[in-house]
Amino acid sequence: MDEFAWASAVGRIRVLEKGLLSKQELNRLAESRNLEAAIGSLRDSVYGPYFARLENVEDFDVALERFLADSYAYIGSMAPEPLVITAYRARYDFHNLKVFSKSRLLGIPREDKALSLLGNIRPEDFIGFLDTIDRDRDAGVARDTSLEDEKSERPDLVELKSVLARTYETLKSRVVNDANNTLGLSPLELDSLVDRAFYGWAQGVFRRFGYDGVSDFLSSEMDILNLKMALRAKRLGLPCSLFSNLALPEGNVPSEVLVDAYGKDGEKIKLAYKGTPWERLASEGVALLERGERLTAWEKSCDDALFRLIKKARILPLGPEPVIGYIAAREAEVKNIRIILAGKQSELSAGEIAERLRESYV
Amino acid sequence: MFGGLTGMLVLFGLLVSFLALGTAAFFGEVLGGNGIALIGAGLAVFLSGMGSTIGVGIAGEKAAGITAEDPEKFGRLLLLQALPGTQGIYGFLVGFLAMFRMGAFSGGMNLTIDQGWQFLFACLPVAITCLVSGLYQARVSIAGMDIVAKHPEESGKALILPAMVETYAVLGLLASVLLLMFAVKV
Amino acid sequence: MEIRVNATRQELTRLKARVRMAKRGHKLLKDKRDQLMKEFLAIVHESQRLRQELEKKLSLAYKSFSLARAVLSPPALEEALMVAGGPEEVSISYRHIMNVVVPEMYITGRSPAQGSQPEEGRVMLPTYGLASTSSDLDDALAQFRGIMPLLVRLSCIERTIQLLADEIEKTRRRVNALEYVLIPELEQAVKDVEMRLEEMDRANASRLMKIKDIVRAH
Repeated sequence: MDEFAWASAVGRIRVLEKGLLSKQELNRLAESRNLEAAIGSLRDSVYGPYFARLENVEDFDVALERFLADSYAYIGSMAPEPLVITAYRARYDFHNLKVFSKSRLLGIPREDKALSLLGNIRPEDFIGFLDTIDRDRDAGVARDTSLEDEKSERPDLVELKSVLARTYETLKSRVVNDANNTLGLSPLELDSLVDRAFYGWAQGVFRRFGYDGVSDFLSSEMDILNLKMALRAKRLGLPCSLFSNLALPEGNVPSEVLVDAYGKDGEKIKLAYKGTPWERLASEGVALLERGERLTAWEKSCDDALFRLIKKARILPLGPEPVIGYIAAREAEVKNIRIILAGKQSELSAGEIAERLRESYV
Repeated sequence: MFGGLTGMLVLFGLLVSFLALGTAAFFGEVLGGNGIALIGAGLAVFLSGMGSTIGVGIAGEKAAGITAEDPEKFGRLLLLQALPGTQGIYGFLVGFLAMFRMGAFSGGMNLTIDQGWQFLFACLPVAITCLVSGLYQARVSIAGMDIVAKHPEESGKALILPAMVETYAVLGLLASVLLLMFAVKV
Repeated sequence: MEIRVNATRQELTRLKARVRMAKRGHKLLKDKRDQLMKEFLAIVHESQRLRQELEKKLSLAYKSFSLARAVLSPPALEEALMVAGGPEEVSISYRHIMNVVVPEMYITGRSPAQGSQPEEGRVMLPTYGLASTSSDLDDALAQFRGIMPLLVRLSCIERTIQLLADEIEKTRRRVNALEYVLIPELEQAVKDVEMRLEEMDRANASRLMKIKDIVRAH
């Protein structure tokens, strides 16, 4: 742990934070007449150059994705301990792993649009990387020898790749074991295996570096995700045995407790979250579930609660938390802009857009 | 309290001073009065210098980060960076005064063990307050830089906050100077 | 077209029988047509109702899908939807309406009576991870899934309408052919034959009278 090492990065972040859109700016964006007008009013912000390069305004997703990718690259370049940022960003690498695994292991045609540009490893390098794993496995070569030529690579990427390789091998063994069944591994299980691998590893990294703020945030994210998944799984009527495969470990609420509660009833789920900051959210969500109402607004308040936790990083003078907070703020901002623009595109009412807008960082 | 890096550094400083005290206590006979007094002067310079160096160093890093994105803030940031630097000067001042009082510059240093201990303890207030205040003032400065980065028009407030920490460094300095001038019998 | 027959009494009886036959067939066909029309109209009404319902549901589903899309990032959405929601089997049986064979289709496991609700104990497993998606997506996909039986039902009804329309068209053509062509022609032919027979009778009578006169004059 070396929070002082982050001093320079935090200094730069403070200046960058001034570029974040305020709540008023977002509201003004939401009130614009149509898609063109909304994009026009973004022209003077940091997003301007990205939208200017678009040939068709309907492709705003591309611009937003490029913007985030550049932000990540910039933040990564200023991090004194790159692994911390790499681990946070790795959620996109694991996302790409899901896409590639589905196409390679489940035999589903690859959907290039599903690939994220935000990962540490570019999608085109990812293919070569997975090819190497497949080849080594066929040739019976142990993993370690193939890492020889990666010595020149950044150590944080080497660690990430070894975790990705391990996860891929796990998925592969699950599929091969069930060779008589073409879909031996359901896509749901595949996704949740990858998710669990990501959260487990990232939490390990943050704990290893000793940044309590970041690991607390990740645990809370897992708590909230577990709560959301539990209620959604209840709504979809998934059996308890399946849910136990979904719950993410390493949250503040142990996954065994939650799975046990899931097997019983809503009251027990509330009880599992008793004493955590999410107690109120849990009881609200369970009430909605029992009345059979939509969870949209509730999911938003979950995201907001989590985001308020991130916002604490705004007043920290040192450490990686402000840096991660900034990245999370940008992601939330892009999400809000996407909600607004997509809403304008499909001509949703202002109320429907506002219902989905998340809290902003500044 | 001692969880963060700052706390660890403070602990390290206190450890050094305890070691010095221990050394003086165990080997007092060997070192003699002169030796013990010089350990005191050394502690004053070393501990406060350590606090200031680390403080100015980190504050400088953060200032550099902000300047990298927004060069116009350099002037205001420089002030904030310099604030934790005063402790080192206080420590040096006390060290100098102590050496002056013990007669290091007038040829003959000839102190008894008792006098040596007096010098040592007279130097301790500035040494410890400057170490702790240097580190914590740096933290306030660093946080104050956030104000400069986000609200340049409020830079004055950013300067006042770390200046509050300065008070205790000054009090430590005052205590040490008074002790050296009036309490130590040469 | 004219029906040419030998003007004999035997022919006449045969023609008359044909006329009777044609008239009876005509009446039967007309009844069939009317019945078909009745069925047809009922089904058309149902299809209209279904279509309206479908359109309402589809637009709702598309709307909730676009809401779900707004909240998810495009790669996350694409990844979630990479694997199709699993096969649905459609069972087909046949039914007779006025001798017309029409198909009956429904999705296996979801009998038409139950509509869009999946059968008890049958859980639709999502084919995407829950951590990276939202409940909006669950709702949108459930709506689309709920529309499936309606779609199948509608396609089955539209096929029925097509088949019935063909049958009605065919029947109507037959009715018309009978009513406006065959029956008039047959009646015409009967008349012709009767006239010719009467003509022959008269000719015979006058010939007999002539012969009687000649005989009497001698």
